[in-house]
Amino acid sequence: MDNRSEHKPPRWASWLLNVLLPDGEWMTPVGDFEEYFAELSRGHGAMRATVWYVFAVFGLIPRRVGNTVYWNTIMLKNYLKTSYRNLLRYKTYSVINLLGLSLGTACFLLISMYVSEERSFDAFHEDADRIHRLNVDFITEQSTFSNALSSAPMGPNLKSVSPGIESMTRIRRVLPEALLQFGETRFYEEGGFWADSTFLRVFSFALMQGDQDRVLTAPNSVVLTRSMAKRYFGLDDPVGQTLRMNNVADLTVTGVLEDVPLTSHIDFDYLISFSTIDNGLTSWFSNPYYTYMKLGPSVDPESINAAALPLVESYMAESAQQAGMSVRLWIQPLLDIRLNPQNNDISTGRGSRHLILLSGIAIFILILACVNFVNLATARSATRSKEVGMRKVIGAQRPQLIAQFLGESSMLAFLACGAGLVIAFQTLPLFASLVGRELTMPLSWTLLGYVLATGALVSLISGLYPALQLSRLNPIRILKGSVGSAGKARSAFRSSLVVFQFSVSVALIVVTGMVFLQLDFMKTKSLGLSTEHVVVLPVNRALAERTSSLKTAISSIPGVENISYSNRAPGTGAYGTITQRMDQPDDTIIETKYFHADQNLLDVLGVPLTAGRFFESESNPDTAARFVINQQAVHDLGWESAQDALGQELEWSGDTVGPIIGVIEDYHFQPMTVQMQPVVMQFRESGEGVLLLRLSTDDITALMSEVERRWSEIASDWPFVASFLDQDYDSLYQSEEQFGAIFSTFSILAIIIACLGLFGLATFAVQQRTRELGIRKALGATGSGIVVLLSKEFTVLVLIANVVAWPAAYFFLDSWLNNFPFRTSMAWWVFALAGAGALLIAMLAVSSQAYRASRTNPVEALRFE
Amino acid sequence: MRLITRTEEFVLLAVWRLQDEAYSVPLRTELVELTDQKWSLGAVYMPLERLVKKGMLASSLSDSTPERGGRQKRIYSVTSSGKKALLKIQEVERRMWSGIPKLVVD
Repeated sequence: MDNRSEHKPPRWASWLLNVLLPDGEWMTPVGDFEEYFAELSRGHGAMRATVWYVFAVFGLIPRRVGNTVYWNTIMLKNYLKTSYRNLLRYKTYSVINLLGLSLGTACFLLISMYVSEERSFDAFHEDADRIHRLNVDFITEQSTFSNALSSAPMGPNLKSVSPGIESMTRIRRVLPEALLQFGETRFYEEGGFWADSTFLRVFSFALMQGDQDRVLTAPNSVVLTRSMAKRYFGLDDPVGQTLRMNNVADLTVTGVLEDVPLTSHIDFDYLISFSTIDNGLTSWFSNPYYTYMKLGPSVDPESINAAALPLVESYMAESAQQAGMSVRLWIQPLLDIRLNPQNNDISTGRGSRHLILLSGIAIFILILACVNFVNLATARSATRSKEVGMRKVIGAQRPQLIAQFLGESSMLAFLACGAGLVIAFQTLPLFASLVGRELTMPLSWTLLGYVLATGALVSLISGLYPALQLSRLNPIRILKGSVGSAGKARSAFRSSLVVFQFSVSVALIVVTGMVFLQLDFMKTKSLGLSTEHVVVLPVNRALAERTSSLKTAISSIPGVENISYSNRAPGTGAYGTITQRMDQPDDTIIETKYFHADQNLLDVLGVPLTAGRFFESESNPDTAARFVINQQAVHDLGWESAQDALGQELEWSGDTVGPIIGVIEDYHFQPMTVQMQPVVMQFRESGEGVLLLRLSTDDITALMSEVERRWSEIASDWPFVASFLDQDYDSLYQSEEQFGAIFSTFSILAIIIACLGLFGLATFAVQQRTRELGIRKALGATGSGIVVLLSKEFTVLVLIANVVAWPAAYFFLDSWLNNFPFRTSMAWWVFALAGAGALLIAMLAVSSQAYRASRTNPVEALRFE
Repeated sequence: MRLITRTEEFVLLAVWRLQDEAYSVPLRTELVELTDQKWSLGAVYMPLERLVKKGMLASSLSDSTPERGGRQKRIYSVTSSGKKALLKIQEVERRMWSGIPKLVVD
């Protein structure tokens, strides 16, 4: 065998050998192995040598692994023991950290689950990504109005021109709410829709009973959800039963659906077949429908939008142009609807901006809690530095120390996460009422994922800085004792974190305060009408003919001061149409709201008359077209004053012409979140709409039961429903109230967490300075002097926090208030009060500790250590 | 002082025999030749380690030599306590063999 071809062991095996041998030890064995390999290959051939080499290397693995595990376990046990001892030894800090972190994680978990659920709306439908909804844009020069509602012919026409649409369905809300009756059981049902027979082909709501393709085909068919069916039929089989609707039609139950999942943007209790009402609605401009379609696989949604262009061109463009606008049809993905609701949307979601705001708050609160951990950990680094020094001397490497401290923070973080999860479950109903939606938080992998992710996030945010900080210490200096309790730089770092915490808290308090001010402003600002002691009785179409007799019967009750008919209740908005001046028809077409009302409306609502007269009583009926308009309409139609408008002629809704007989003051017939709009009123004595009763102030309860008695004499076939106008108005601001509630809850949380941290820091500061304080007292410092001395430092921090928070809150509020046409002005005292409040709470947290310090006997203090 | 095991005795002796050349690979060869047994490399390492721990062997790294790809060898040498242990076990054996009837295999 010649020397030249001497064999070498396989390269990967020698590499593995290098890896497996402990540091510094590997040189000789690798050499030995190589030499023996050469010897073997000379004696027994390269093959045998290689086999030996490979086996020898692999043989090393078990021992090496075992070794690593063994030592790491020993170290881990040691780390756990140290962490555990530290937790127990400094109970105050541990409690502060745990409490803060569990509050923070609870809030973070709740919001994360909520946001992720909001983002997964409608995903339960099969092929959800292929389902779209048709939206209609009305575009004028100034603005674009995107309407979720569409007209009856749009869907079918679009489907016939675009083969990409697999199936299409339309639904239309049953309005006003229908009275459904089975035997003695009758309810006004809100959640009703007329639906195309293809509804269940587009959507995959689970049908429990009935034939998917046929349940909504025949006229007068109704499909109920499980809980609705139970409401009427109990345990009996509902299929084939008959429900009487509005005392006029009989609906046959053809199927039962599972209850609509909470994560569906369409929420309904029953569906009635479309064929029941197919009244040949063909107008392209009447928009009561929601149109949904399922596209074929891999059909580009843009192609549908493109196919809609010629339809708009041939059916809508001309009329739209006359009204000074253009129309565009487009389809919106189903999965996007909850996040980006359009005008008149069926979805009650608040959209992605709301979610972003909530997520922002959640993250801030979590960070606040983490800041506590960071602050307390760095403040206490002096106590831990001896341990670090010892470990370093014994041979700990920096990565090991970092791992140790990160491990310690994650121990705490996961403990807090567990507690946070419990808190989250306990406060779920509270949170649900905050966000205004039913919420479930099932134990799921997603939830577990969130908990783990939150724990990891918290341990990283809160543990990383202290870990880096502590592990960096120089062992020689530590053990010589020359590392002070807190370096200047680190103390500045802690201070800025405290400032950050309090800035967030103060900003949240300011926002809360202003939200409630605005809410209060909207609720108490003069509406232009008096809502007290006004009762609203809805009158539906079937009762229209009986309105007059109802009016007579009820007005004769002593205590009912006045009664009036109107087609809409104030506060609920109004129908709109176009109005123009007869003298300048082309320049003055404006969009107006309209009411029909009888002569008593002004008296019942207490709206003042500006000029002219209101409608008059039966003896002089204003049956011919005569108009009463509001001040806004006077202005919008281009008259200088109310007097100028009197006697002028209007063309209303394109067909009715008549003179203006009176002008009334503006009053808020819509929530104050909407601009004042022009109103045109016409006389009508009775019909579908509401009866408005003004009551005298004595015994309302007895009065109402009398009203109910009279009602049932005339309209026993319809249940008596009544509400108070002032309460109706109050309920208009739910979304703002919710907003306020969210902010107040979270600002309270934020301030609690921030104060916990401050309390901890104060405790620490007092401990650090025990001796100094003792000497001060021995030399004659007073108790109050010591309290001031200790509080001063933190007071300054909170003051700085105010300065940071105010502009931030101001800019946020400024843009928020801009959404309201009627808004309160920015109140400086809210800012001042928030600042003072934060300061006060902070002082309380600090001074309790300072007080304790000031009370201790100086002898005790000097004996300390 | 406790007696060392037979394996340890062999390894110690082998190190003494090889003197400056006493490192793993030649030690193994030496042991195989002298004892007529199979010795794996690992079987040499373990007693070496143990003896170093007991203070009967000392080890040092040699200069790197080209034939091992420049890698150093760990050369072992017997310490005085190692020598004492060897002498002691020799003495014990001598005593055990002395004054007994002659041993003959039938």
